[in-house]
Amino acid sequence: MTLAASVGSDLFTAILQGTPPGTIYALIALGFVLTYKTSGVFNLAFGAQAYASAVMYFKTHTEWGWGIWPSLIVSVFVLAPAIGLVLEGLIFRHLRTAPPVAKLVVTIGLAVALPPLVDLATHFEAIAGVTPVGIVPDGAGVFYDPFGAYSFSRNELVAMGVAVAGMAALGALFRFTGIGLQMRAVVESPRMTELDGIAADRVSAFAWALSSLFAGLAGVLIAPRFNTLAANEFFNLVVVAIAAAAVGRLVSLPRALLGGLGLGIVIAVLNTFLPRWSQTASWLEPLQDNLTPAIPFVVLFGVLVLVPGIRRAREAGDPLAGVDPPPPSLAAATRDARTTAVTRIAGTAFLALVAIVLFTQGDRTWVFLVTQAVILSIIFLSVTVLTGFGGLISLCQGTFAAIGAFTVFQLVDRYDMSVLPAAFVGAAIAAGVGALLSLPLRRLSGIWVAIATLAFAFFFDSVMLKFSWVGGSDTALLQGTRVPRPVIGPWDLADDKAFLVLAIVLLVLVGLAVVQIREGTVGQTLRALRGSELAAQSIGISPARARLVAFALSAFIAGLGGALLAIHQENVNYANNFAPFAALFWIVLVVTLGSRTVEGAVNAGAAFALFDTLILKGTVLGWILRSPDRIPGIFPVSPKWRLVLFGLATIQFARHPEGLIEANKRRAAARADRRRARRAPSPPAVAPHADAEPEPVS
Amino acid sequence: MSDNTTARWRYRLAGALVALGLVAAACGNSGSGDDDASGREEPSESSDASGGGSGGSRVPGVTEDEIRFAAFGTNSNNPLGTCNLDCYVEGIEAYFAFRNSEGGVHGRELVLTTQLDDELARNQERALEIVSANDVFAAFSATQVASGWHEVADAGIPLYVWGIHAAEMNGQEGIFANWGARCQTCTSRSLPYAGTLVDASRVAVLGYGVSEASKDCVTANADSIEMYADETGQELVYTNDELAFGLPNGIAPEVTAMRDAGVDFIGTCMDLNGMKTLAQELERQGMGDVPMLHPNTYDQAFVEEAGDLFEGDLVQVAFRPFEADPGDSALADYFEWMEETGSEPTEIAMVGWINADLAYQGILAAGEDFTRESVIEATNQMTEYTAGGLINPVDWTRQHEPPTEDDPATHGYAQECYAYVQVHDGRFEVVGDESAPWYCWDGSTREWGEPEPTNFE
Repeated sequence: MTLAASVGSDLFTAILQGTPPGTIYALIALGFVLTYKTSGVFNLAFGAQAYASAVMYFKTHTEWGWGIWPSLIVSVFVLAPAIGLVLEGLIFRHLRTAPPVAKLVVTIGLAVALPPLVDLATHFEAIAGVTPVGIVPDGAGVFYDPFGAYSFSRNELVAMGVAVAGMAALGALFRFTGIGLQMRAVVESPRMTELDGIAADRVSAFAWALSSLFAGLAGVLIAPRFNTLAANEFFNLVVVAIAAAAVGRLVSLPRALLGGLGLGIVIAVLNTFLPRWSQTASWLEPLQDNLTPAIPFVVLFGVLVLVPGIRRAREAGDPLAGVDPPPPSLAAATRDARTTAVTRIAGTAFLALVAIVLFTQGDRTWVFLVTQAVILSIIFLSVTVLTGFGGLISLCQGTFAAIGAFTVFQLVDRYDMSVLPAAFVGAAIAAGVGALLSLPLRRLSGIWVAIATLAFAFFFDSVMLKFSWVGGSDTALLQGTRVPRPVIGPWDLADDKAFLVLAIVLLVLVGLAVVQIREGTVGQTLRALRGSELAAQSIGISPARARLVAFALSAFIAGLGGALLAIHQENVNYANNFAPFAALFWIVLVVTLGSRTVEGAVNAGAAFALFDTLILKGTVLGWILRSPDRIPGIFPVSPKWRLVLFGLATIQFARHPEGLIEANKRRAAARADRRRARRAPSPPAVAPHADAEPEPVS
Repeated sequence: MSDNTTARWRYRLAGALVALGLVAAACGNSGSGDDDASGREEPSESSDASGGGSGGSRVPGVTEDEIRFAAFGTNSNNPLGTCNLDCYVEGIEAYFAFRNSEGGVHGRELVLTTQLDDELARNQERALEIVSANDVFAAFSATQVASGWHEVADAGIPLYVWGIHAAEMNGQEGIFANWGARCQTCTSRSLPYAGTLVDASRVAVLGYGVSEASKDCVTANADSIEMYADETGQELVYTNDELAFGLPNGIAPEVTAMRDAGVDFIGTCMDLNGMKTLAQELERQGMGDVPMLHPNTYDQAFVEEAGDLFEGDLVQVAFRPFEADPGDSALADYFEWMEETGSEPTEIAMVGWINADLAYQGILAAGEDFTRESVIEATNQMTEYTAGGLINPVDWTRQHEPPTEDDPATHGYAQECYAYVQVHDGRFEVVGDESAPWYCWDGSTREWGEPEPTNFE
């Protein structure tokens, strides 16, 4: 009886203790649902929007000493809706009928671009220990203990109040007001809504202003939980809160609220009881060690895979949008053969010139950077297979690459294996993991595949990494995750230039393999599925098998690239290379520049590795001006601009899902055709270029 | 698929496998870390890089008037929000100003000519820039991710660092930290002795579960409490090495468990932001008076900002605390020249100062015709380096390797010493004698005993 009472009391305390973090998750989950219901966008940039207001509130209130109300008005009621209106006007208005995956990619770009843009615009730098304050005086210092078991701070009580009131107000807005109905109608079909005489643009703008305001309010309320205001904390919270939003299937506000609270409470309950029980039941120890940090990701993955409603959910689409046309052919296939040949010869000559200069004049820094570019191109080809051919967005490519890298480290460390065979073993293991991962995802639609892979990436990051058979044990402690360079026969590839040659050879081989995949049965199958899963099934194609093959191939390539990256850097360097947010930027780059071609991946690799040095540091300008001394004083430009520029460039993804490079090639080919047509006495038959045609992504 | 196509694919696959097999059979691993086997062209001592080698000297980064240095580390994108490279460089520049005011070394001024921000993820790239340019004599580094240190060391360039990355330093004869190589899994007297300072009897140890290193830190602390339990009367009543990094879910259940266990002293392996979250939760659950030992919080501004959250807590300091009596140590010089150069004294600036002093002492010891190699060699002959009484003496002849639990003597400190400060009214105060702020034990054994208040002037 006493024991039962004690457990009951502890459970009650744990529930109370889980409520404040649960409220934070609930606030973000509500924001997800609000944005999805009112705009049809699964907004991964929600955290970035929240961060913008949190930074502005911090600047105005903490740094500039403004009062609470003026700071709140400026950061939440002015800045946040303004951000929403700008995003709607410049980006999402033009994406209303775009596929959900295209919108998701754009929000990933915004999630990458907005925080550094905010930092640059406001000159904000995180300062350790300068804790953001809440919206009530002494919010972190005054506590109330309504149940005599656990006290809540004023800040926490305000957040709880806002979450509940927000849920009620938004619920009422959707249910009882005309604008609520109109917002949902615009998501369902803007064209049909306009036929009803409703100004879809205005309704959509209101929806974005509202959801952005909510993001701003959430940001200001969340910030006091962090002792240092930093953008990555917001993104991590967003990933956790997706689990709560998924509980509400992105449409139910009450379920999102309960999902968020439930998540916080489950974590607190497990943290209360698991350590205690594992003292007497040793079999619980591994569970305690590994489950608690991964609960949100396990919940998210579980909800996605097990909740039938999500598996069956069809993404919002405009019934009047018509049928998406099949992807247009690549420019190289449609333009005349002479142009293609000239382009290829010119490209090859340029690369040969670069290689000659690099191998004769390049110092170790340049060789290092170019090798990085080559290896990253290999990794990015994994995105080409999955996203370019299959139309699937995977946000765990960094994890596949990390598996390859850690495999090399482990095989060398434990068995003194040669690194090159180890790299292929790593790639094979990554392929196996990719194939396994595809099984629970086989029935999920586009955005849910992306979210599930993101959950997997965070699961690996929070749980798998610390296992000695993954991240290394005593050896890693003493020497880090070091990896040697290979020796092939008489060639010692410790020499950087020799290793670069190997990397180039492997890139060419993988590139050829990817072209083979594109032209072969696998590529045709993936294209068929991407066009219409039902139609593909009707001719005997198995979507599950095709996804399995696509994931396995993609993971193999990523794993091989990851292994090579570790060998190149002579260290796995997980945090630098493969952490989930870092790998998110990979996707942004590849889809921006071109996810359907080898060329796109190579350009993305070059951009990732060389953009800072060539452009932001002003090196190219120095070459043009023929002296580094003539580089203007504004250089070097902050490296944050790289994230901003490439992040914002994803806006182009919906218009040009084939990527900026392919779009430019088509434009150039179309111009050349027009010129030829003008010059010719009678217009020749010209293959049509689908320059302005949007391409379906899923 | 037709039979012909299938057969063709089989032949291709078999061919590819055979080719792979042949390559695999011919494969081996390069002698990692072995300079002779690396096959790399390393910057030569006599190379005539810009800024180096002029005026008769053939040593890179050394001119008739100057000895040039580079510093690289983390400024932007530091998620902890702490001041790293900028503050570190302030310490270096203050030290250089101090020495230059006395005529420099071997008739040359010490000058920091290159400063590179590694943006958290580009340490290796920045290191290679220094190696490629080859226009500085030596380099300094204070970074959150030390992926490039081996590049500088492999190039034979002396490297002086903020030594928080044990794995990247261990065994590297050309890398010198502000302390000797450390054993992360070994027991120590620090936490148990800090416990005796606050009359602790029931101790908790907490840390993040984010990495093996963090977990090992918790294990080492917990083992230390248990090892000296008979002598100190302390009992380990709560351990948790599974906290999520950054404590996104708070730390309420863990604090409740500590309260239920009657904890009266807490040792942690956490960053300063985590310490603040923990202190806030302790305050909320009525445990605000329970003292903690902080490993990373020697930051006056941070502690002041926290109000009375850390009142009574102990902070371990890796050098002679600022609040100690400078005596004849270099502490007075540090204050004087930090003020002279318009900089605030900070923990990381002190690390920069200590690193700069070791660079100076090494050049001085190497003699007029110094080279990178001779400076490394001369530094590695120092057996009692204290940075002018600022740190526990390091024996660089044997402290590039960490000691082990079973053998603390071969590679460990001659004396195991700790200095502590305690927070009172938002300010730090030295624990014990201000003129002898170190508590030291014999470093050759792990036996308990009363520590000796020590001064390393």
